[in-house]
Amino acid sequence: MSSLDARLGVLRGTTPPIPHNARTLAALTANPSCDRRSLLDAAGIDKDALAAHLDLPRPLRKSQLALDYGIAFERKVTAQAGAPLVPLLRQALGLTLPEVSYEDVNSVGSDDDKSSPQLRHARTRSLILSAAHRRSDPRTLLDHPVLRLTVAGHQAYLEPDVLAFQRDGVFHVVEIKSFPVIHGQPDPIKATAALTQAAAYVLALRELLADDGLPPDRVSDTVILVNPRNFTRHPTATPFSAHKQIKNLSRHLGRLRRLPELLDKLPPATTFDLAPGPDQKPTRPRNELVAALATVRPHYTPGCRHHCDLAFHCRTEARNQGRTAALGTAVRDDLAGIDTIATALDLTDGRMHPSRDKQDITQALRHAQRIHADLQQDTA
Amino acid sequence: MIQLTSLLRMRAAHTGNVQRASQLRHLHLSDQPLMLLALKQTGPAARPLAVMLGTDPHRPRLLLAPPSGSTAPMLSALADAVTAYIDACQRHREHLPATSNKPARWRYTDAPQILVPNPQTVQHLKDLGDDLRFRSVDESPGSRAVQRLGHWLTYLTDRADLPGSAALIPMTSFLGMHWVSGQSPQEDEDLATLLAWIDPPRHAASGRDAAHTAEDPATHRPAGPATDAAFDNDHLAPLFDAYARARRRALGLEQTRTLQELDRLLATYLQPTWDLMWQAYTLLQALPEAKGTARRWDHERTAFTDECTYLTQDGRPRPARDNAVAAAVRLACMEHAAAAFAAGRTAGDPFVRAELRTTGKAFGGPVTTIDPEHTLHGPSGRTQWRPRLTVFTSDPVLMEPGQLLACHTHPSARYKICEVTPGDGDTLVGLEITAGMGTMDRPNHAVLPDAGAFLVFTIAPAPYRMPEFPARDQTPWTHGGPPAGQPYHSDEDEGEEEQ
Ligand code: SF4
Repeated sequence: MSSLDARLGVLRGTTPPIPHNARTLAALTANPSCDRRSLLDAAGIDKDALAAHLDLPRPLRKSQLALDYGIAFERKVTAQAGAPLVPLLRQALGLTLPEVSYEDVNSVGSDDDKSSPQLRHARTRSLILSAAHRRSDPRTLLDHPVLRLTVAGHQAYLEPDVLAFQRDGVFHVVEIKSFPVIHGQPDPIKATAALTQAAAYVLALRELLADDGLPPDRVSDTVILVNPRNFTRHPTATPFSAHKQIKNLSRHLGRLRRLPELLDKLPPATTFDLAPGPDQKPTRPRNELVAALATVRPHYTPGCRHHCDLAFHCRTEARNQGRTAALGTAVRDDLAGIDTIATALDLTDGRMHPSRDKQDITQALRHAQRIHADLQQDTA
Repeated sequence: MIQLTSLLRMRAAHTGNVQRASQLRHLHLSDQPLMLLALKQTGPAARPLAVMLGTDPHRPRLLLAPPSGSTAPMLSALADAVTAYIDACQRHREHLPATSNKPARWRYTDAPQILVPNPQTVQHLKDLGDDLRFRSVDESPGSRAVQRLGHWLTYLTDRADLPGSAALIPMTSFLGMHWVSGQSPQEDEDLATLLAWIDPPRHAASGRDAAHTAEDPATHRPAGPATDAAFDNDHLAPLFDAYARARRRALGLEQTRTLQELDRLLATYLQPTWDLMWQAYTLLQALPEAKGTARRWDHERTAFTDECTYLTQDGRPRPARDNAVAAAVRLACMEHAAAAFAAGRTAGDPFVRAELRTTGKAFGGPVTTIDPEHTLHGPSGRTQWRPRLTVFTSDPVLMEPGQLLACHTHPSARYKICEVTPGDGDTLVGLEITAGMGTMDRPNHAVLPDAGAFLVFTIAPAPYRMPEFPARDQTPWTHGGPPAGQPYHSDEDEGEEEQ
């Protein structure tokens, strides 16, 4: 075990690390400036458990109805050895008929539902490499392959929905998503999130091929999203360029290497251990946990609730400290350089003298204040 | 520069109390709006779960769609309710005499106004409209009414995109024009917390405290259309399962019982939001109307009258997606509406002017000198009357000489910047009046300000000319139905068996 791992292990305590998946990797790009989150994620700490122990609302809780709907749609698309999927991909990718063959990597080596990720990864690897080197008939569609991506020095197993391989030697990542594409257009936020997840698969696939000396362009930047069409449950396949998301994600994965710096800043003996008792219930005193969180710098925005379990903790903290960021990015950007509301208002009302670098912004604040005062007089 | 709203947001956060923004209402409020809350089912694109609607605060009506199976009966009831409301707006007409550029016309004296909690509900209704307006009309009772509902939803949600329209208004945005809370704009999209800031219950120490209480997960109910995961998992999923089981085994009684239970559950779920909607309505109604508000409502009634005429004469559904020309027309209309609404609000509302002064889009100050006799010699050698004035302002002036300006006191007058002379923190701006003052022979002296008058100048809106497009009755593509070669499928029934 590396010393980095040992240090992260101390932060996490006794529970095993939460493995990364494409969703958590995608979330890394949502708020990369947040040290708090980077550290907790790198250490594989269960943020949801943390939030639950702190008695916080859990903004990322999943709706069972949404999950059921998603599973039903995916089943429909991949039923009968991908029969509904094949014509869609044939059209979206220009596959020709004889190329299509289908392999489900879900159950390798046993009749059980799922084999271990290691085993399925090995099977995926051999299928992909033999297709890439044309050693066998290309398996054109791989259902639920298992890929591996190195994240901060660790292997994360990732499970794309489908990989498609073309005769011209290029792989495509295919993601099945249950949000609709209405008149050819998906919800842009959901589409971006899906493409960011797909970017993780593209990177993992490139890593696999690179190990075997194959160039990255054997995996296309173009990702196929399969969604319900309009208001139906019929699937439609749309190609999207994930170029931006791939670049973004690989940059953020690179940044995870600055972890040692973050760790060096922590007071000795900092830990986020929930100290589960014999009944698995956390026993860690809450105030200790809150104090431990306070040692790592957050970067709160109201958007945190869409991607981070700790959103309500960080919001309370930002509000208690009177941070401008709690009022949204418009206010925060307007006041660039001033972190707290109290400072901003003290400068506005002349209770505080601006330092040289705050002179312009102070003038702007006082200008806004003057205009507001005029307005009050007019309407009074 | 610091926006006035940013400063107010900080003041609100600091004091714990909401700050007033505009104190004049720029959108008409009907005496009888149709209040409408919608819940959609988690998962499918636009499958309704329930709608609560009505014009009487004490008698909301709840329409429920079963968790699985056909939504047709519910949609047909919704269509009837909405159509009845819209029909009631067509009871009286007024006659409009001919003007110089328009023949005599008539229009309805009323128009529908639907109030919904938030922009997300507008989007949901848009999706629903998209789905329903292409449904085929068949023998089944109500199918024509449902298609018509789709048409109206599309009309209303299109109007909602036009700044200044009051046909379909999301309440949180409406409130946000008049009050600035001490929470972030994202949090303002939650009706319950926003209203707690604005109008806290008497016993609350502050708006902030009230918002904090309103957020309590035990009592907080999101205003839709999405239900939250906790509600889905704890309440809806078990009932949905029970319903699906009963349906599979064809236990009619059991199905009815589950639906009744769902009805009770959702009625209780929506009731708090229903009450908040009327509370918000009362607050907004108490605001005095701005000057342009009635005129904007006149336009709304014209648009509504046109739509009714179109429906009786043609009635084909709008295409799924506008083609290039239709999209260009739509964009031009939106830009025009936005510019007109902005200009109207600026002219009529001191708060809007103050806000523009903090973003560099306007400056204001007293008139220091005025030269009412100033003349110019135009290119043709004719003498032109161009009165000049100087304004002293402490606002930063980011505009260049040559810029054309408008002023709230005489909306049709135009002023050209001749000179900008920055001083120590203040600026002198030399202006020339270029329009609105009449001619040498027939001068309009009213436009000449007195020295000392406080004026605010904004960038003049670019003169608007609707680009040349074919007239509406010659544009089959604006109402042509789905583009040819793309058959449209709706799966009202198919796929349901999977549940
Ligand atoms: S909620 Fe907190 S920890 Fe999570 S990303 Fe935001 S600031 Fe960072």
